[in-house]
Amino acid sequence: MGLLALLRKLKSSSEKELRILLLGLDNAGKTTLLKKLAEEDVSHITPTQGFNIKTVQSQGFRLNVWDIGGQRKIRPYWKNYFDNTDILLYVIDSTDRKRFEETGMELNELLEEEKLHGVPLVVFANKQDLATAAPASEIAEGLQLQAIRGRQWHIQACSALTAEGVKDGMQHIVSMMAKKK
Amino acid sequence: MSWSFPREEIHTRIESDLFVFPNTTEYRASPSTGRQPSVIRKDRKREVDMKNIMVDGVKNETVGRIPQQINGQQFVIQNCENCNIYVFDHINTVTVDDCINCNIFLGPIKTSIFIRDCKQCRFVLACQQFRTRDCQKIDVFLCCGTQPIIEASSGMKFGCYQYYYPELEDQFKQAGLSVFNNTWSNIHDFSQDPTEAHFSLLPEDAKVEDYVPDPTSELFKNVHIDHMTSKSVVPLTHGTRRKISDQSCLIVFFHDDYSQSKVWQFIKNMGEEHPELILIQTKEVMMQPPDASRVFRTDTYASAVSQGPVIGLEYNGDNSVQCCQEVLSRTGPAQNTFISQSRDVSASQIENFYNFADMQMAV
Ligand SMILES: Nc1nc2c(ncn2[C@@H]2O[C@H](COP(=O)(O)OP(=O)(O)O)[C@@H](O)[C@H]2O)c(=O)[nH]1
Ligand SMILES: [Mg+2]
Repeated sequence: MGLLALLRKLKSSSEKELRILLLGLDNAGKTTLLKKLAEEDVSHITPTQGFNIKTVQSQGFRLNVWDIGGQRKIRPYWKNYFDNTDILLYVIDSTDRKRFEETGMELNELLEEEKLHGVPLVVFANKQDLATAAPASEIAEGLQLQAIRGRQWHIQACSALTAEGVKDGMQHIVSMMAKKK
Repeated sequence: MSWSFPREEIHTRIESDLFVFPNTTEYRASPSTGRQPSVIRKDRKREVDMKNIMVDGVKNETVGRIPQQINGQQFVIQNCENCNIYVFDHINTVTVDDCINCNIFLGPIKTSIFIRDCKQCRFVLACQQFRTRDCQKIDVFLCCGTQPIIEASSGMKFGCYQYYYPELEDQFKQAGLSVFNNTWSNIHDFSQDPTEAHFSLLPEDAKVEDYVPDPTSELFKNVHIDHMTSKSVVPLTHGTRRKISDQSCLIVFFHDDYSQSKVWQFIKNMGEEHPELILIQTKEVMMQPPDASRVFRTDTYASAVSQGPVIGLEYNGDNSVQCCQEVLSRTGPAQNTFISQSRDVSASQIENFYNFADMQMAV
C-alpha cells in the first residue's frame, strides 16, 4: 500500500494540511526516506545543503514533508521550521554508534522545544539492512524513549534503501493522526 | 535525556556479545545457559562476518580484502595508524573513524562514505556520497556521483579518480555507480570561512600510486593493478580547474548497445590525436524528449533520448569543435550522436546540457 492509499484512510481530516517534519543527523537517511515515502527512485541521493519539501496531494488533502539538512553547522536552523508541525519524524543511522550520543542530544533538545510541545514522534531506526545496525530496542533504550511524557511516540526499525519497515512506520503515523483528532 | 548508555566502541560491544564461548570448536551446549549448538553456530558466523567487514585498531600493517570477500556488504575502518588498507571489492557503505597516517584504497561504494576524526590520510575511492567531518590533511582521488561534502575539515585535497584492475568495472556496476558521473572537484564546504580555504585540488600531474602505493603483500598478488591513464575505468577529467581556452565542444552519445564502447574509443582517439585538448567533464543522465528539445533546441533527438541514458562529454581547447568533429567522424558512423556544429553555439549547448544534468542529479 502506498502513501496515497494510507492517506485516503484519513478521510475524516480531508480538509487538513498535514505538516511533517523530518529531522536527524546528516547521513541518517532522511532524504532517502522522503523519496521512499513519495515512491521515488532512491538509487541516487544528493547530500542536502538546505532542505527538500515534497507535497503529496489527494482529494483536497495535502501532506507536506520537510526534509532539512543535518550537518552540525546547519542544525541551529532547524527551529525555523518548527511552526505548525503535526508530526515529527526523527531518523537515526542505526550503525553510527559513534554518534548515538550526539543524535540523542539533538532529539532531546527537539523534545524540549515549546513549538514541538505534544507533537507525536516517530523515530526511524534506519539502515537495518546493514550488519552492524543496532536493534531498534537498543536504540529506544539508549534514547530512553519510555520516559517520554505528553506525546505519542513510536520507534520503527527500517531500511529506507530497501523500503523494509517504511510502510509500517507510515501506518503508525496515520493511526497517530487519527488518535490526535 | 540524551544517550543513556556509556559511550562504547563498536568492537567492544561486538566482542562482548560474541565471545561468550571463546573456543567454539570445542564447545558443547551448556545446560546452564540453555543455548543450543545452532545458536552458537550463528554467533560464530556473526563473529566471522563482523571481523570480515572491519579493520579496527591496526598499527603499522598492510591489510585488506580481495574481490568477492566483501561483495556489497558494509565496511568499517577505525582506530588505525600508519597502515595500508585495501578493499578491492564493491561495498554498501563505509565509515572511517579516528585514523592517522593511513593509505586507503576502497572499491566502489553504493551509498555513502563518512570519514571522521582522521588526520594525514590518503584515499582512492569511488562512491555515491562523500562526507567528512573533523578531518585534517586528507588527500583523496575521488569518483563521486554527487557533490562531495566536507564539514569542520581542513587541508583537504582532491584529485580525479584513476584506477584499474580487471574486476573494477564490474564492481562499479554492482555498486550502481556510473564512471561518467564524477563531480570530484566541485566540493561543498559546510564550514566556509572567508579567511581560510579548507580544500584545494591536487596538482594536475599527481599520480595515484605516489599517494596510495600498490600493495606488495602476498594477499593481493592476484589483484592486477594497472596505472596507465588509458586503462582507468573512470575517465580523467579536468573538473573545475581553470579551462585552457574559451572554446569548448559538446559531444553526446545516445544510448544503444555500443554507446559505452563508442565513448571510450572516442576518448582514446582524442587522447592520441589531440593530447592538447582536455576533457573537462562527463555526465551520464536520462533525458525525456521535452528535455532534449530544450537542450538541443530541436526535436530531432526526441526518440534518440528515449532509448536510455545519454553520455555527454565536454572537451576544451582552441579549435576543439573542429578537432572533435574530425575525430568523431573517424571513430565510426555518426549516427546516434550529437556534436556541436560550430563554436558559436557550443558554449550555450554545454551550459544547457550540464545545467540540465545537474538539475536532474540534485535532490
Ligand atoms: N544501506 C543503507 N543505506 C542507506 C539507507 N538509507 C539511506 N542510505 C544511504 O545513506 C546515505 C545518506 O542518506 P541521505 O538520505 O542522503 O541522508 P540525510 O543526510 O539524512 O538526508 C546515502 O548514500 C543513502 O543511499 C538504508 O536504509 N540502508
Ligand atoms: Mg538529506
